[in-house]
Amino acid sequence: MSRIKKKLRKFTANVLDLPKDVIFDLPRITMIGNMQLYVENHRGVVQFTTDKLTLKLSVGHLEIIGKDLVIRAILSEEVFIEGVVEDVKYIQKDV
Amino acid sequence: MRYQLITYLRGHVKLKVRGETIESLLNELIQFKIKIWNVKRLSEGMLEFHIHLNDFFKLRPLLKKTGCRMTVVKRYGAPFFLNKIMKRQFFISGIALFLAGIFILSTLIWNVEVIGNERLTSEDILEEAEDLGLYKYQFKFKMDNLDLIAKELTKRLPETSWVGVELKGTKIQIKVVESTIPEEEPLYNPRNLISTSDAIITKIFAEQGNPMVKVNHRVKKGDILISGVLGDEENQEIVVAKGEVKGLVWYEYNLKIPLKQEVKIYTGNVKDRKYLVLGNRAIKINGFGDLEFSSFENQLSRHMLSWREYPLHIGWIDEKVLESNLMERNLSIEEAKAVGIQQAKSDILFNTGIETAIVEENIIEADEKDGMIYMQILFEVEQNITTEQPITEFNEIF
Repeated sequence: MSRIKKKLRKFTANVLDLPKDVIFDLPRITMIGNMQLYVENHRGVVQFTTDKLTLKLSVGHLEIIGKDLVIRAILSEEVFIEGVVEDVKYIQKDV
Repeated sequence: MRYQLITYLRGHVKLKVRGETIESLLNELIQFKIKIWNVKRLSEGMLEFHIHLNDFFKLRPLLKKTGCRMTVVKRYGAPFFLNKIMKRQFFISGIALFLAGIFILSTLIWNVEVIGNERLTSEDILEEAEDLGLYKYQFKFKMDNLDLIAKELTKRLPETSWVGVELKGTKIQIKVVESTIPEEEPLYNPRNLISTSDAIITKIFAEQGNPMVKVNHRVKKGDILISGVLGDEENQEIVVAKGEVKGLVWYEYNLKIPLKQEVKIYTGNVKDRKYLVLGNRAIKINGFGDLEFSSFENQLSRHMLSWREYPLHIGWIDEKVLESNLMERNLSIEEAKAVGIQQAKSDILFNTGIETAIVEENIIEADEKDGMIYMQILFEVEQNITTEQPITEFNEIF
């Protein structure tokens, strides 16, 4: 069932040339230099310190490593982070 | 950040939260759609963030749920500011008094202005206006309708044809249009109109008085043309004779015109000089060197600086030195005659006025002698020939 659904979604995404984040419920990450970072479609904060921010995603986690990290704004599906971003890690499965 | 003004008006607070499970608090906040911003991790188990004032009160159950404690670090925005101000009663009452004062003062008339009057004095108009309740330091609401006041003023000031009263802020403007009085005619003595010279009458028009001559009559100098005495010897009235009498008059001119005439012309050579003027002194600053012109003319133009109406006593002079030459011009006999006639004509017009018409001109004689032309010209001219003669007791007898 789920496999068929997945395949169907992939098919429509390819045929209609839609952005993948809409179809697969993936996060959209926008980085401006190493100073600002937008993450859309997250699922909550797992850990937040000045050096590290771990966000929960629909599948897996996103780890943002840097210095002086500040959450400028946080909404139910969006985070806007400022600071010196050094590393963005995408962890597919549970840590 | 985009809605800084709205954020300011709503008010927000900076909080410090202590607790073990701070991340779960964040997730709760997200879940309840409570907006927070500028989230900073201060240390292990210590978080700092901003939150809207109305969201602040929703925070308490969430804190309890996650086992965190919070302290308010700083308050921002209008609600706190107003709260602070409302505590200062005298300040508030001062503002209220100030506003009330401004309002009361703006309901006063501060100035009454009269414009458009020339013969009437402003004082008279203001006096009448005051009588109608229109004066300085009067409350606006105490005054009558301005149109009624204007009407009443027009009635009270008979020398005006219209009075308008207008309120301009705290100023009353009374506009006056004065009725025009016809110009007074100058006073004349009783008089006759008599002839200035021997002439033949071509036109006579007596506006007032008794015409004594008719068209084509020949008159001598001093003859009465329009008499100021009306009626016969028993019933007499003496008036000011008025009218227009035109007649033909003859003039004889004896002229001599030289055939050689000297004319001054400019050669076109110009030398510019400039002077700086300080007070009464002028210092040459440009155009040095000797002049090569044998005869010349100077044209000076003076430019003095001034600030508004105060002269500064500083300026400059532009001088132009124009080289000139005297040229001799030989006239033909015809040209000389034309020059002579022109001279005589302008002389006649100058002496008798612009209404004069030259009817005929005759060159009786024109002789050339020693480089001169001697000519005699006779003009027949139609001109105004009246002059006045006052009527005195002595005149009346005749």
